[in-house]
Amino acid sequence: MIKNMILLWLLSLIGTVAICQGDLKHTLSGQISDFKSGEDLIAATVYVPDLKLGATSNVYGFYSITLPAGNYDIVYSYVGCEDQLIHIELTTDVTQNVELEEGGAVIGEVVISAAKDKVDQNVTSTEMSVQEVSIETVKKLPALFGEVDIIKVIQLLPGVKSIGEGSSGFYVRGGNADQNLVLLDEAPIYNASHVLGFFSSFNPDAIKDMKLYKGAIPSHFGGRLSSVLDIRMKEGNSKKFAGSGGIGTLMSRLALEAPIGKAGSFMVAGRRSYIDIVSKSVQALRGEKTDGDNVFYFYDLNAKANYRINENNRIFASGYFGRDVLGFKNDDESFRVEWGNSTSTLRWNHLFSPKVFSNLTYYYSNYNYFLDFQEDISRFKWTSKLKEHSLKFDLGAYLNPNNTLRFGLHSIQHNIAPGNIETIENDIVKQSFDIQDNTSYESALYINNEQNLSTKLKIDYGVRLSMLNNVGPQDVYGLDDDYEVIDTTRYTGAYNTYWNLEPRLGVRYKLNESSSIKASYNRTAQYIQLASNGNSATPFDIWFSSSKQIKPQLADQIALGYFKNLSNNSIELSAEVYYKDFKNAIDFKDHAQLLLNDNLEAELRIGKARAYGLELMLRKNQGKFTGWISYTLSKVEKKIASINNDNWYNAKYDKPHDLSVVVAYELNKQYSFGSSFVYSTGNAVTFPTGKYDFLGVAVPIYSDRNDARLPDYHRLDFSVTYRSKKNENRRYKSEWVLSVYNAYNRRNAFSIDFKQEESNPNITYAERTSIFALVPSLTYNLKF
Amino acid sequence: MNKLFYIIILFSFTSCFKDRIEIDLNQENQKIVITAWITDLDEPQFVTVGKTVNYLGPVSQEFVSGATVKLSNSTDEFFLSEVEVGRYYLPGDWTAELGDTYTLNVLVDDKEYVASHLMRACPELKNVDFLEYDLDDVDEEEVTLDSFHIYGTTFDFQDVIGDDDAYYAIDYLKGTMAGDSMRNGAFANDDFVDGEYFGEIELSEYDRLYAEGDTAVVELFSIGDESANYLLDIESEIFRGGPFDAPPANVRTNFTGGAVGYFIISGAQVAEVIIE
Repeated sequence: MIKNMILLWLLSLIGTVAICQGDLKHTLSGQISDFKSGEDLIAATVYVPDLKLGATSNVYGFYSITLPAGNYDIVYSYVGCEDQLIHIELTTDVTQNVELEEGGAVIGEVVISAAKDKVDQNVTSTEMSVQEVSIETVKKLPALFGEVDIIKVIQLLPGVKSIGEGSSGFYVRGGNADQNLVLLDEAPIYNASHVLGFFSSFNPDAIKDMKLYKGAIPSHFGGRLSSVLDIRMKEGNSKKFAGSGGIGTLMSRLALEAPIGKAGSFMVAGRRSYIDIVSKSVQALRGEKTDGDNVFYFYDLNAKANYRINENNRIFASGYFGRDVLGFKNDDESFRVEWGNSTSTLRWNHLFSPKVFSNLTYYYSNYNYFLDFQEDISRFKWTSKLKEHSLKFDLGAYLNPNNTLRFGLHSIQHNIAPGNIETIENDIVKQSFDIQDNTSYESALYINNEQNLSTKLKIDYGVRLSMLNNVGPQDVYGLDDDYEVIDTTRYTGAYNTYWNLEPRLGVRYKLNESSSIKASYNRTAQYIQLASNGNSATPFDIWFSSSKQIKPQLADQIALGYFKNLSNNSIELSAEVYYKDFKNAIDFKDHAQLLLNDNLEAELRIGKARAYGLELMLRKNQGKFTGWISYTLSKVEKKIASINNDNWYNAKYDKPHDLSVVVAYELNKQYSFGSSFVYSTGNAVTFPTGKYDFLGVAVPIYSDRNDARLPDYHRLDFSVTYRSKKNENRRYKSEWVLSVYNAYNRRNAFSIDFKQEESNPNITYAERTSIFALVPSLTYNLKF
Repeated sequence: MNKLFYIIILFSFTSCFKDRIEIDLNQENQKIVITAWITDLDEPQFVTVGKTVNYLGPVSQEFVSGATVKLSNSTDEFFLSEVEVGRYYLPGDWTAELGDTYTLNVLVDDKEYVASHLMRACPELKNVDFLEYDLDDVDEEEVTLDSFHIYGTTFDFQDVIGDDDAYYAIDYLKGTMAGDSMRNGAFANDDFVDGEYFGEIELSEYDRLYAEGDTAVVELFSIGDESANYLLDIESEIFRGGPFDAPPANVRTNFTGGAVGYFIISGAQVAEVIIE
């Protein structure tokens, strides 16, 4: 039966292609880019009003649409840009590159078209559970310490939660933070934050586009259960030398971009914080003694270059390097801690034909940290690192307007060195403790087709066949039912394999021109996870792969949504419900020892989890007044062996109610305003119920895990941006941004802990820790 | 502009704060608590039996009277006498057998709770001494002594070769119970330093230093890895508040039957030093 169905599907695809050829169809293809900077425009729309057919550009700005021979008016459009209407005589395959301008003028023979005809993807696309926020929108919103942060804006979207004040970690539809695949130019960033999570790793001046998949994850993505955050760096201005930057309370940044000849461009962007310098100034202002040898800073560098060899070949090279440094030094002792990511990506775009676009990507990703303590002649060094090499070949075949096929293969080598410790005296290593390295290969084949079955019904279906191979040399511990080691086996070569078939399906049914309903199902598999047990992830958490004892985690998600556009597509409304079932979910036993543990498997407990919810979003994308209101009602629970007496318990990131109101208002060319308000249920926490005395301390007794709540969280932020009138007449444009975080000084609880009174240890009391009160900040931005 | 800049910096860096709040907690479903730390020191050895109490309640502990408490090893068994309510003492002629495993049986309301622990020999305390702290290094707010000269204790010891060793040490002012709390003790295992000689270990905290003329007592206990993990559990629960804390969880127990608490039996060394 299944064989017959596959055969029918293949015949229908082949038949469609044959019919296309028989009907003398031709392909219109090309590149869509920004008029001013030459940047590729992602998801720009190509629309044929006569046929009511459309296509969108891919992440490299390439589009392709095959139509019957004839004369057509083609509308090219992109959010924030003027539409362009181009008349095409399609008597043969045509390459038409298009540049769209932000509110720009008529270019050549191109005329401005009315926006009302353009394809609206919120309603027409099969995509659901996907969120996009333009980097320009991100820059309009208030930010902690005035530092624009794309992850913090993502946290304002429905279905995305944060659990720590100011934290850059995020939780999507009941998934843990390590179940998000965070990609920067296709390379994963394993620790996407600086300063222990307060700032994300992404320099807004270097970022062009981001897209968050919360569900209906396309088959070309894999390896994480809950979301994919696909971030693309700018290619660099291919028209002229340009730059941007800013000076803020805690850090400064600068980005430069320029053409490379007539066929390429580059971009370099860097940031450096001066938290240590500022804190010394604060100490000086307070009249406190300063220690000149303390250091605490971070920096990051983004770089990218691209070059078009000819019409059919283009190459890209990009990289990211970020580092946090913390330390102090005096005459007797010193310590230094460093951690950071580095990635490099090489890509080759090749057009086999106007209909077949390919991309070959190699990336290298590295996350590492070290601690170095020194006292007199003794020294203690601790290092850990994770390295990844990956090769991905991706093909997009634009068969006809009704079928877009995408397929490829992907292979990753994970190499994890969890920890090495050395104790050194007089520069001689006295003892060394090495947790064995772990190597695994994660591979996948995938195929996906986006198919219009009728003007109302469109489906997006695909499958991903993923596989993990553990490779020796490796000592593998055998554990008994009490998780005690009973034997050790030495393996060399490939010794353990898992594979999973991950179906992906999305369906859209158009109710009318302005509304549709969509449904999706996807299975995802995750083969590498983070050993993190704290309320916040630390830089010292380590990743570990599935192994003989740890099966891959699986998640099945179904979602149903209603999508409606109002007011000539300027307002979007969406309502989605989802249910997600996690298999082989992991958690850690009570008082798990995760650091420097060569038998991590014994600390893990396996079970299941479930998440479900309703997400509502009302969004206005156009006009002086833009923003959104999002509300999420959700639940996420786990049931893990030996934890909470084997009963269901709330995940720490279970926050049933979550409301965000985000507005940006452009008053005039000089002033604009941004504001956001967030309200959510307090984090799920575990509070003690009883106690007993042991050697003068009150030892707490807990009942159920995460059955209590911190007080509800709410906060209002706002920002005012002032641009000089002189900006209009000069190349260098500048602006001042005044941001206020937590404007009404709400004392949101970061945690509640219990203390014994020093004067009377018999009395125990609750103590609330709040991280940020009202935090004003001032940032100066420039652009040229 | 400069003033605005400094105001912003000051606001930003004075944001983190802690305050005491009122909170309602669920009532405790009472459990039996048994705590015992028996040593080979020449002093009364006892076991405490009680019940857990509400966490924020006014009572620190509730004792249980009438329990039957028995300590046994491979050769002998001793019944403990309830001298005070909830406190059960070993006979005065009891002597420890180093290297033997001891079992503690506690019978309360016909329900038995059992725990076992290895009695390890304790390495000798060596070079117990004191050192004077440089006043410049000490935060004035932490010093409670009214003296221009303040001192702490130091000592050495040789770790026993072999796995699973761990030690607990504490110092206090002789003749007082001041400082006799787990908060003032320190413990460590020999995971990365097996068989090493530990020199000039400093125990004293700045908030309980010694003055000239004081006699300081230093005690060292060989508790083993299992008990060190128990103390580590407690430490991780009572010193909560960091952003990277693990989820709260009940500390381990080595008692069967649902009781909480722990049974430790350990070799110990004690020494004194006069600060002069």
